[in-house]
Amino acid sequence: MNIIDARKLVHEYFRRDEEGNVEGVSVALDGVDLKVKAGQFISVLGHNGSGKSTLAKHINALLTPSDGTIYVDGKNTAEPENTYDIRQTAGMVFQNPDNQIIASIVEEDVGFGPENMGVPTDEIWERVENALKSVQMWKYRTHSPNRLSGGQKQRVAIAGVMAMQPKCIILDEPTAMLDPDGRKEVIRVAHELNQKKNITVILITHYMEEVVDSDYVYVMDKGKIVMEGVPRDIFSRVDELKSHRMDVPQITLLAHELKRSGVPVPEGILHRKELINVLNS
Amino acid sequence: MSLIVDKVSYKYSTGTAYEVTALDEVSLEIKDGEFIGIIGHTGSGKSTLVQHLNGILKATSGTVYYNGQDIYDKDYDLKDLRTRVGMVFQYPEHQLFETTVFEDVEFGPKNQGLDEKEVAERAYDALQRVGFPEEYYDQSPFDLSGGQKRRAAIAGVLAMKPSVLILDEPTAGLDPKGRNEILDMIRSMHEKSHITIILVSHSMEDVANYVDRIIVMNDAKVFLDGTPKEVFAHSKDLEAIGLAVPEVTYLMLELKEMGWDVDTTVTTVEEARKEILRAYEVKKSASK
Repeated sequence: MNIIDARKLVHEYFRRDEEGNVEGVSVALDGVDLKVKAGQFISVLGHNGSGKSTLAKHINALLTPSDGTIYVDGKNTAEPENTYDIRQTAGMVFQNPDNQIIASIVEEDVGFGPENMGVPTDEIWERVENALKSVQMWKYRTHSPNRLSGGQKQRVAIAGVMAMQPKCIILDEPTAMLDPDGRKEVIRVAHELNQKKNITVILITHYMEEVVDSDYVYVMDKGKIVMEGVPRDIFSRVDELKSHRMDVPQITLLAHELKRSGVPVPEGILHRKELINVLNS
Repeated sequence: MSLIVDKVSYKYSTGTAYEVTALDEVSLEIKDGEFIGIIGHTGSGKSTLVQHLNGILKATSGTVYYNGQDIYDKDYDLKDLRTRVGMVFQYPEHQLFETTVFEDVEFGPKNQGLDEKEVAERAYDALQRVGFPEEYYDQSPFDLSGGQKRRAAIAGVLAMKPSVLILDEPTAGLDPKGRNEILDMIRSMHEKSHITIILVSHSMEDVANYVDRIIVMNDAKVFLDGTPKEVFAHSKDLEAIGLAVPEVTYLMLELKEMGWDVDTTVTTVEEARKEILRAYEVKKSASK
């Protein structure tokens, strides 16, 4: 069964002038079809304003469709009585770690979610421990979040979602405000959760290097899904990606340019090792 | 005419158990018209360093000279320094506040006490220089895309006609196209008006493609200082402090180890293409 099943999803919103009068209608999502199987690691790519974050907000019912439907674990997000279940199924991590950490001690912040769900105290602590250990932040449990680096804060935010034991985690540009080290940490943790705990991960990003190890990639532009496929397939379409304001990793681009210059190199090279092997053969 | 940082140390929370040395006897000279990248990971002291260049932070010891004058002299005009050494902070679009883009850009020169005509001219000129589309001059800055907002914010600093422009992570949070557009814009600005540009970044790839000189900060000190090629030749040292050289540089290093006759100082995709192509032709004709 698909844990996420979006069918012709449309999201429209009204543009308003200073007095609040409606100026016009903008379409942020325009007939999006998206199917995610439980346990997959999916990436959604797109430039700023392509609609990818709007899509993310539909997956845990922060927004509901203007048209079309989206089912999360079999539940229609348009039905208000499903909202609570859906948010428990699909946890969300946002771009700015400072906007989602609320407590003054790391472990209390992670415990906030399960506490609100009415989980018994003993179990809360068990969940907090598991969650912090799975993002490798257990030794910081008594620290104040404001003393942590961006990558560490983001991992605490992920632990906070983990503690609610969702089946699916949506990471909405979780690395946009981090430095290269922090970015690597967060992506590594996301892959680990996917592999070890079998949590479905939906990674929304505009960094191409982060999606090379995904099971499947969607590229969005102007509210539509314009490309989809496995990473190798997506990255072999360099010119098409560029037309959607995307970039490809340096190595992929180099392989593409070498091919153009007459060196027999296949398209869609993702890693340095592959290119070296091809050149040596 | 230059900026000289002379043995500058900066400490905070001094006298407490949390004392931190953010800069440790840093000395360097920045000459007129240079295009410099300052790299280092979070907490290396790079932002602290640039905040000394226009007197936002005052060194705990050591001093900064601008055009030969000590900026910590009692009668030194710091306000004037700040218009000459312009600073674009991280996420500068958070500082936009006026009702139109044009008025927002006018704010800086207006505060310099210039007359209305001059202010408008400056604003117009600055917006032209950042390549901001004229039809949006009267738009609210809040209705713009991320990349456009950032251009508007940079124009706001340029309108004060600084001779040195410092940009702290100017591409953070932008998509790849937006990132290239902003960096191209900064480069063409440097080429046309020859102002000194200091780009603070943690992206090696970005910096390698654009700047003439790289200063690598680590642990409150200058770790490396030189042209991109000189700096990236220290790939092992850079890795040891948690920084990486561009992917293509790694590729060349690995090819070299396998016996390819390639130049390992390559830092851009285009250079790598040419090098591999050259070595490939040599290899092919040798095997015939």
